[in-house]
This record gives sequence, structure tokens and C-alpha cells, in this order.
Amino acid sequence: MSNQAATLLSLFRLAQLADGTLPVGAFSFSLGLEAAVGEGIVSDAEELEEFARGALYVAAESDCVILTEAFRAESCGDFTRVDALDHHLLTLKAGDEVRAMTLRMGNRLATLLHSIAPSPRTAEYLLHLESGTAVGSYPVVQALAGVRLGIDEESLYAAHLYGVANTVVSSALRLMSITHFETQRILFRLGPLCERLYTLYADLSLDSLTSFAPLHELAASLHERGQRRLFMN
Amino acid sequence: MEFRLEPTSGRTILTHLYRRVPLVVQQALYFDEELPLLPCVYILSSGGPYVESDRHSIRITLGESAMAHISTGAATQIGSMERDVAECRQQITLSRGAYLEWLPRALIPSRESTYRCHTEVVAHPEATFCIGEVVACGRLHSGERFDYTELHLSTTIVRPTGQVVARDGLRLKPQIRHPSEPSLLGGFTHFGTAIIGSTPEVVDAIYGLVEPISRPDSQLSIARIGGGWGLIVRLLGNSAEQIGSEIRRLCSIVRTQVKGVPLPPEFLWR
Repeated sequence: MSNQAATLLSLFRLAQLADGTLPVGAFSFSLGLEAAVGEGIVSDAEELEEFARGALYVAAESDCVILTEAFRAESCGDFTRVDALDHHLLTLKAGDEVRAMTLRMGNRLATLLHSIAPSPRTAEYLLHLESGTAVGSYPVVQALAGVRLGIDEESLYAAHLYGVANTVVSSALRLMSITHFETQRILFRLGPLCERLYTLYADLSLDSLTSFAPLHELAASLHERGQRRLFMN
Repeated sequence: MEFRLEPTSGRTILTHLYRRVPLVVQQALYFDEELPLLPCVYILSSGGPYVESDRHSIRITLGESAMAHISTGAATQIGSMERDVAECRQQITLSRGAYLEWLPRALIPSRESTYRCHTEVVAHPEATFCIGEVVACGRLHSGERFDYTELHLSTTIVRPTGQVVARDGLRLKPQIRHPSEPSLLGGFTHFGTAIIGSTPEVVDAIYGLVEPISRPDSQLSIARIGGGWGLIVRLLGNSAEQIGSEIRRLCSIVRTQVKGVPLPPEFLWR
């Protein structure tokens, strides 16, 4: 395959993996936005953008570090480390719904990946899920998918962050008075943050991962107790 | 520093103590009117604030069915630094049936200070603990507001087998991302974290008794951690007293669930 063909194929695969309609269930989560809107914490486009920006930092200081570490481990065939990273991330997740989100999306992606691009490795990972050796956290399975589909680390990183921002703004369309044009403007403005986050946090040590995100922790906490339930978190 | 507490004839006593300057462990006192057999132990630093290159190590062990209330005699200040950082490593080991309240006074990081503290709680599944921490934005009387260089606090809860069940971490670098951003502290100046560990039955009961709070003057979130074997409570407020008082309220709920009695009111001079 020529370099050009490989690049085009990689970009096509990346678009497929980052698509909001990928059947992993992202549309059923709001990352706490539902409760934040319900409590009046987020009520307009400006506050929505701040909420989405905060969600990107939360991801960059935990999930994305695991994503890049898992990508590197998967790339060099260190599958034991991949499984360890899977467990490591889960110990950092506070809240039933937050844990449920990463596990549900990760497990669905693992099944989907084996369905569309089966390989001995995808079959092995599914066996690890069955035995409990792996748990199927979303960033780890994304890393596995990225390596399997020939996507490079930086692109996969951007895809993960795009997925976070897109989950927030897409759920906003169903939760508050905002137009598609406004949500697209927010996504556009958040784009440059990706490079800053990668530079600042992608190489953090596992000891430095952070779960400190008071606004999003509050939103998740309120949602677990709330009555209004369009989304699963 | 390291010390060990074990029950003897119903009362928990200090059975082992090793310390080096500047850390001091005061005599265990039995003044808690709700739990007269509970030792209240205060840790002091005779050297004043943490200074550049300090490396402190604190190891606390509670034997089987031991109980203790541990605090500090005053706020922990982190002094300004030029080149190096200050670090502390804490290991708390809780045997079967042990009960610990670890409620130190506020942490106050000064201008241009870097402080890193890692706490490892090695807890038997049938042990109960409430660890609370209050963090100020700086020396308010000197006009400091998040003028420190870095604050890195992390906690790991581990079983005696070595299995990690939960982690919490925060790393604040105001020059890179200011803590007053809306998704961090917003307009609040102080924050606190309480980590509670116990059996799932106790954890569920506490979870049911603590409501999240979203008010202009205070914020509280609560979430299960460690697969239902613990809780993390995050608090925002505008004074160390406010956060400290809220953490005592949480600790009182924990104590009531496990020991059947609440925390007594805080002394006026504390």
C-alpha cells in the first residue's frame, strides 16, 4: 500500500471511530450536563462551553493518559500492561454512573471491533473481559482499536477528546435552548485546546492522574440522585 | 514518624512510637465524651511550616479492633521555596475491625511553594476510616490567593493483599490552569476532600444520609468508590472553618453508623 493510500485509509478509519453514531452508546450519556442544566449551573452557550472545556481537562488528566499509555503498550505487544492500565483507570473512577459509562462504552467497542476487524488479539481481549483479566474501560479499548485500525497516537488522542466534547454539546441540543450552529461554534473554538492538553498531560506518570473536578463531580452526584433522566449520566 | 495503636482491656493505647525532629506525637488523650475509650492523638511539627527539601514520612498502624481520632495541633503551612519541593508520604494501616478518624487541620500552601503528599491507606475490608483534608488558597491575611507553584495530593486505598481498590488525586498548578476556573473551584477559596472506607452496608447507609449541595456559598458532591467499599466527598467553601465543620458532620455520620454515637461538638478553641 502506498503512503498516500495508507494515510487516506487511516483518516477514514479515524472518522469512523470518532463518529458520534458509532454504536457504543455515547448518545445515552451527557457527562453530567443533564444535572448541571437541571440545577441551573449551565444555562447558556457560554456556560456550556465552559462545562465542555472542563470535561476536556478531566479527560486529559486521566482517561487520555491511560489512552496514550495503552496505545504504546498495545503497539509493542505488552498486553499485560494494557490489562493493568484497564484496572488502573477503573480505580480512579468515582461514582456508579461514571464507572458504568466507561465500562459500557468500552465493552461495546470491544465487541464492535471484533465484529468489524476480527483478529487473534481482539478475540483474546474479549476472553480477557470474560475472565476479568481486563475490564474494558473505554480509553483502553479505544487504544486497542487505534492500533488495530492503523490510527496514530495523536489522531486517536484528538478523537477521544472530540468524543468528549461532542457528547456534551450533542446532549445540550436535547437539554437546553441552543442551536446546532452554536454547538458547532463551541466545538470549533475548543479544537485548539487539544494540542495544549496533549503537550501538558499526555506524558503524565500514572501517579499524577487526577480525579479532582468539583463541577463535574457535583453534576455527576446530582444526577445520581435526580429524577430527571433523559441520559444515563 | 511511626506509631501504632492497639486495644488493651477495651481501651486503645499507643503501643509503639518512633519519631524524629520536627515531628511530635502528643500523649494520647481520652477526652471524647461520646467514646471515652477512644484515644485522641495530635501530631505537631515543632519546626513550623514545611520548608524546601522537607521529606516527611508518617506511618500509622491501628491493630485489630483498635480505634483512634488523629489530628494536627495547628494548620499545616507550606513555606515559600526557591529551588526544591516539600514532600510527605503517609501510610495508614488498618487491621480488621479498626476504626480511624484522621482529621488534620487545614493545609495552607504559601506563595511559590510546591508540596506533594501521597497517602496510602492499607485497609482490611472490615475496617472503617474517615480521612478528611481541608485546603486553603494560601495565607489569606497576606493577600495570597492560589499563589503557590504546585499542590499535588493523592490517596490510594489498598487491601492488605496489595490490591488497589480506589485512587484519588489532584494536581493544581495555578500558573498553568488557575483553580478559580469555573469547572475547578469557581469563586470558592477553600476545598476539602473526605474519603470514607467501610463495608458496603455501612457505605450504602452513609451514601443515603448525605445529600449533594449546590449553593452559592457551599458545594458538596458524594460518590461511591472502590466498587462500593468507599465514598469520596468533595467540598467547596470559603473558609477552613466551614469546610472543617462539614467534614466533622460527615465524620459524625460515619461514627454514628459504626460506633452508634456522634462526634461531640468541636471545642471552642479549636
